Order: sequence, then C-alpha cells, then structure tokens
Amino acid sequence: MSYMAILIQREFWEHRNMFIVLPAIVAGLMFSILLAGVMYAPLNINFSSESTSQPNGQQVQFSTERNFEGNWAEAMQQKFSALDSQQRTGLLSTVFAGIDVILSAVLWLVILSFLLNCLFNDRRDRSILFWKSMPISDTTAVLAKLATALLALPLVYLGAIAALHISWLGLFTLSTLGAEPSAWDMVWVPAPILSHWLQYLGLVLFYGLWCLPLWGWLLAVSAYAKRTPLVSALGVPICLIVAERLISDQAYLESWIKAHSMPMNRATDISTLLFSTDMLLAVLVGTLWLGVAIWLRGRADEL
Amino acid sequence: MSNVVEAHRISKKYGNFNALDSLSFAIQPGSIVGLIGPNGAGKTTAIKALLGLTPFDGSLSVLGTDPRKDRHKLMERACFVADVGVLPRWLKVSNALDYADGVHPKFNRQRAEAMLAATDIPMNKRVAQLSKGMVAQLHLSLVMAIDVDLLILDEPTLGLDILYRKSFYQHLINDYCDHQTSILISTHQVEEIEALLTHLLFINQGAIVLDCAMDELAARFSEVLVAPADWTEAEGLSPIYSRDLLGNKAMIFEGTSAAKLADLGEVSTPSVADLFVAKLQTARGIK
Repeated sequence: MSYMAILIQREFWEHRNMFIVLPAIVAGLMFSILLAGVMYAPLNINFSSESTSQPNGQQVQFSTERNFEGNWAEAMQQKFSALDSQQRTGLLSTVFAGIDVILSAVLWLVILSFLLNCLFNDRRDRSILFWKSMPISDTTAVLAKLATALLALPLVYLGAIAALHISWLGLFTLSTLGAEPSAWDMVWVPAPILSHWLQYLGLVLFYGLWCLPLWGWLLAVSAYAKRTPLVSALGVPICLIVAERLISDQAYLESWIKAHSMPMNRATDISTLLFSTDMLLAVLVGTLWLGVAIWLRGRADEL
Repeated sequence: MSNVVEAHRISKKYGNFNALDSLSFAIQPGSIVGLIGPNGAGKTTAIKALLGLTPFDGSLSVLGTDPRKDRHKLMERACFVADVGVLPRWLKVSNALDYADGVHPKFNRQRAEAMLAATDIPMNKRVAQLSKGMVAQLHLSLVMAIDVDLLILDEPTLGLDILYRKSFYQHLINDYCDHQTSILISTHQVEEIEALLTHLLFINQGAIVLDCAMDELAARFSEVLVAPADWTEAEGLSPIYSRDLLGNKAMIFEGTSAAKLADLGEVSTPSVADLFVAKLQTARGIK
C-alpha cells in the first residue's frame, strides 16, 4: 500500500488533461461568466413561472415572480439583505450546490471514462509489459486505479469547486464594497463553506460504495475487453435488462442496475441507505467485480 | 546455489497452436543465456511464462518463486526489457525515474541519472518525442539501475540501427560482466550476442532443440569443409547439416570425435548462426 501515492501520481501524469486541465478550464469558464456578469452584463430579469407537482399524490401550485435590475451581485445584495441569517445559509447552500452541478457532472463522466479505459489502454499500447515488470501486485495496481477515480480525482474537482465558491463570494464582496449590510455579514458569515465541502466529500464516499458494482464492472470490462470496452460495458447490462423483461414481467434487475449506476436526486436521504441491505449487496457485488478485474489483470497480456 | 530458473514441461496453447510444447530447461546463476529461435518459435511466450505474464501448464520456478502466483515478488529480483515499444508514450523521462524510484526498492536513481547523462536523452521529454534508440537506452538505463539477480531481455534491439545495437550490448557487457546477475537474452540476430553468451538455448515451434553451454560447444559440434571426393565417407558419419560452399560442402557433425573427422578436412567449431540453421533444419527434418 505504500506504493499507492506514486501509482496515483502516475495516473495524473497519464491523464493530466482529463484530471487537471479539464476541471481548470470548466471552472475558469464558469468564473469568466460570473466575472462578465459583474463587469459587463447588467441583469434585467423579469422571471415568472408557474408549475404543478405531485409530491405524495397532492396537487401543489408553485408560482414565482422576480424582477431584478442591475448585475447579479446587485440583485444578490438586494435579495440577501431581505433575508435573515438562516435563510441566507439556506440560499447560499442552494447556490453552492448549483455551482457544484456542472463540475460534478464532468467528474462523473471523467470517472466513468477513466475506469472503463485505464486497464484497456495499458494493454493496447503494450505498456502493460512495462508496468508488470515492476514489483507491484495486480491487486495494488487495480486498487490504485480505483483510489485514483474515487478519492484523488474527487479531491481535485473539489479544489475547482471550492475555488469557484470562494471566487463567487469574492466577486460579490468586491462588487458590493461599501454597501450595507456588508458582504461579510451577508454571505461570508452565513455561508456553509466547510460543511458544504465536507458534505461533498461525504457524497463522494457514499457513491464510492453505492456505485461500487458499476466501478468494479467498468474495471473488469477494462481488463477483459479485446476492443472498444464501451460496447461490452453497455452491451452486457442492456442484454440482461432485455432478458429480464422477456423472461418475467419484473424489472428488479433493471431498477437495481439503474439505481447503482446514476447519481440520485439531491433530495434523497442517503443516510438511510448507508446502512441498508441494498448498500451491503452493492458492496458485495462491487467487491466481486473488483476481484474479477484483479484476476483478469493478472492474466492480461498485450493486445 | 540452486538454479535461477527451473522449467519443467511448460506448455502453452493458443487454440490448437502449441506455443510452448513441453519445454524443460534450467538457468544457472551467473550465466548469460541466449534464447535463440526464428520468429514465432515461442521465445516471447517462454519469456512471458518466466515472468508470470501469461498463464501456462507445467512447473516453473524462477528465483525460487512461482511466477504465476508471485509475479510482484519475483520482479523485485528480476528485470525485464521487451522490445522498444513498451514504455508508455506519454511518460516523461524524469517521471519514468520518479516511478521506478517510487515502486522499486532496489532502484538506484543516481545510477540511472548518471547513465542517462551519458546519452542525448533530455529529462523533460516524453517517450513519444524520443527516437527508438533513445527509448531503448532509457529503458536499459532504468533496468540497469536496479540491482537484480535475473535480467531478461526480449529482442531488446529489435528495430534499432547498428550503432545503437552495438552500444546497447556494449553497455550490457560493461555493466554486467563482473556481476553475479544471470541474463537471458532472446533474439534471432545470433551474431550480435554470440560473444556474450555462456549458454545456448535454441527453440523451435515451442520446443527446445538445443541446450548447450558455450564451452561444451567445441566438444559437441564440429564443422568440416569436405571436398567432393570425401562426400560419401562424410555422409557415412551422419552430419546433422550440410551446405554447399564454393564447390565443397560444409558439414556439421554432432557428437563425432574430431579425430574421426580430421581425415575429411580441417575441423573447426561451427558458428552459432550456422549451428542454429543446422539444428533448426534437423528439427524440421531437412538436412
């Protein structure tokens, strides 16, 4: 395990663009939009919407109407000055989560792509002969890939997300210098900065386990595929789902695969899932696939 | 001291094709073995079996370990250089040193840096930006900075020009001649390594066709240039190989005493290349 740091670093050498440049570019673009919003684009929103939803079967009517003049920082100043501290924390938390969404989606795709291709690429470019000439066991090699995807990568992306959170608050502060109440009181004090980041890390760990069947499956396919791992990675589950539909009128497998392959609705209370039998099953299935990936890696040769 | 490699009846099939056909051989400590065979003879498969890089049947002990089970432990004491294409193209030279330094307990970074300093290889370039010869030198510098008991080279100079090939083997001789490291080199360019070797292993169609120490070669094999008048008599001594040479026949004999052959002409020891052709043709049933 003492080799983990260098093995993870090696993944960052190989995938520098996907791991570092991409989140930097996405965060940079988002920051540019925020900056342009303050400097050049006075906001003139006249927003009105009506929607109907049916939580618990009840009909509930939502209607929203907003009118802002000025740039987003001024609109925010106007909005926040009317709120108490708790409401500010709530709203800041929502905006933080909104800022997370794009980078989290990019992270999800990067993890999927990395796990699906990492062991395959080593075989395709024949470098597996070099990696295997070093005294690293197949178990350590595969676990290093998993740790890269589920721990190191989310930390890098959290860095980008955190930078955006701080930049957003910083831009707001600069644009509203001298205004009352001060930005410090309005956003910095109530902002759930640390708790939001910790929550993000908690979610990362949760999905690391909840979607372990997916991560393990991708690694196993990556270690096995002769060509285009994406085809096997998607093809097998699709065939299973179709077979289930043909054989029975149940969709248990389908809903299980879907539940453990995609991020959940934010409103889902994950704490109830953390110690559920469903989670236990996910960890077991995931560990099984990891075992398969390690075994296949042990027998793997250049393509 | 026990043998570095003990292979007993190793077999490997790809479908119906016998890549390794009940291969048995041993490598003694400190020996430099040439694993010589034509393309497709099973050299690379045999090497991959030795390194635990491919599954096989049979019993194999390399440095006292079963490579199928303990590849990573074996790799602490054995090193491997395949042909030039296995270093990942995205890897920077400096990162290659960082990596080896990070994962190999016996890697000596100063030694690798000193070896690289003697070449034109820039530390900040990626493998993709180096010439084939430079990649081979880089790989060799990494491997030679590791103090191991067994070094395995699989066609290490394939595709390199003559200057690099010469310098590659020069490095090898200089760095290992006074070591106790055992070396296994596979190649089909026999002439280049002939002078290095202490032992020969010829392989053909997955089977060993010759297993012989270099210092036993002269006692075991003889070559005679036979004039036409003596052809019948010479054929009576069952040469394993005969080829036309300027109106005469150069015949190679196995296990025939030099005294018996002296009457036929001047007796010499065949070159490894000629012996290779002879043994291969014998194995294929052609004389």
